[in-house]
Amino acid sequence: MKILGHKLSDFLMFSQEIYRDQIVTLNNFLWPAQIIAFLFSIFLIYSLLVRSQTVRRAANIIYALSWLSAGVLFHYTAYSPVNWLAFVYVLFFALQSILMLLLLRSDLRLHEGNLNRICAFCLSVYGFLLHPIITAALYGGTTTEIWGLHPTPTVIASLGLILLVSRQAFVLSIIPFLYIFVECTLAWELGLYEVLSMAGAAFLFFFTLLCRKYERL
Amino acid sequence: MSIFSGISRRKLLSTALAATTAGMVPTNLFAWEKIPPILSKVIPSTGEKIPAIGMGTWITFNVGKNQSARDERVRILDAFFKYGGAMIDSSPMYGSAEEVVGYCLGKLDYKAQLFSATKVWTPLSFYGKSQINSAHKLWGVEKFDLLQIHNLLSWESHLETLLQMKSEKKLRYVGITTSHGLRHGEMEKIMKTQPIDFIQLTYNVLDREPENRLLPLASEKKIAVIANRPYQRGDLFSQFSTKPLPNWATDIKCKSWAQFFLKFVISHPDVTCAIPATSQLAHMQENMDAGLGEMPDADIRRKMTEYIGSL
Repeated sequence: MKILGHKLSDFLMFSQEIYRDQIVTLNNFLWPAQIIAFLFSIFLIYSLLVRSQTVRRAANIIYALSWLSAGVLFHYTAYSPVNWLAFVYVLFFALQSILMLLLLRSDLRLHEGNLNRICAFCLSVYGFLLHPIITAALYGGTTTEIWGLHPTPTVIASLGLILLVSRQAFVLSIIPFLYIFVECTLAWELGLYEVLSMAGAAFLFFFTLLCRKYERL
Repeated sequence: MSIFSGISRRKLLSTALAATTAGMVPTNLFAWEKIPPILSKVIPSTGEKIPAIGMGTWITFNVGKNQSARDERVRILDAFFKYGGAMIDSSPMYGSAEEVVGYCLGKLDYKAQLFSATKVWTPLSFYGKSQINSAHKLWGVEKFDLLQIHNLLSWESHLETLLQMKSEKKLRYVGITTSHGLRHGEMEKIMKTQPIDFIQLTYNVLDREPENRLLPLASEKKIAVIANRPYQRGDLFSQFSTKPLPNWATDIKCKSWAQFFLKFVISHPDVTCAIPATSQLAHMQENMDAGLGEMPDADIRRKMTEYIGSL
């Protein structure tokens, strides 16, 4: 595939090794913030299981702020030295954070429907638990990608939340889908196959929304 | 048939290096003092000579703060200069590459040998000067040898700035760049109308379109030519490294496909310098070796393109 006379690989300005190194550097810099992020993850999983509006409100705020933290910590602090486009990502992540804060304020009930809930939980569990485990197992502990600090698990877990609580799923999924498209395209070229899990998450999200739309749940 | 036929570049080099480390071959195989000077070519606008093999920094020097990668780049640059290399080409578009080049230059002592070439890359004409000032700091040089307008972006305003700098002796040469065979029409127009010293474009054994108009025009207008992507960003290796080198490659001292590809580029009479990029010391040595020994003449160059076409 060519864009404006260029192959996709022509847009890559760093190597796979350097991409992973940014994650290692960030993890070393942030340690032990990963533990705090993981504790938040546990709370967020809990929040998807209970029907308390106070818990839901707090969880929605934390989900929203996770976009800001992933944007600033990963894209600004770690990624921008090797990719000038990272500043654009920071802006979009901040915008998504604001959108979630605004649009999820009154979404305090979980959607009903078994398929909807199963898919939402799958996405959440993958983002919070499986993705960190997979990245640690594949590339070592210092390369672990954690929700709230790194974009891939943050995006995937957020899709789970949006499925489960949001009445404006379409609006809230625009930035995640744009990000998933751009990142997965580049990740494919770089051989960062764990990032492609976002494409699977996007497919599951879209499929569930379609099912919901046609009232098959 | 060459003894290197069918052996990949990586495998051949890693075997050679492993053998050297293991003491199977004399360790002074790569001794710098025994290396004769590599091919030099003339910058037509001044008559100054520069080595025909330079170094690009796209991707390979964008390593951020990774200390081990930085240290490796210091070793690569050290080898480059010890081989007699001079031109390093970078751009603000290449992430941290300029800063890493500056870091490496600061660790070495080759500033007198360096031919510094970077670019202006911004659509905002007022930002051009600020970007150039920033590049001076990143590289740690007071004056660039060559400043180019990257991909002809906002070239009218930037060219005015660069020509002004040149007239004030703050810059030695002015150039423009394209890559991937794009915007050649516009480049041709600028070459015909503006007093530039250098053009940079993609030229390699597969991408020979510049031979039709731009290279002859460069010769006519006394403009030096930098060839980027001499390996088509590694695609030439993917495509041909499993194929045998022709028997006659040894006549022009080609031991590997890398040397075959590079010698083809720098032997064009109108090409001044090629700028392969690498992140591996062994590849740097192999690249620089291509500047040694016999260069293909017109007949052999024709045989090279025919051979590539036949594969």
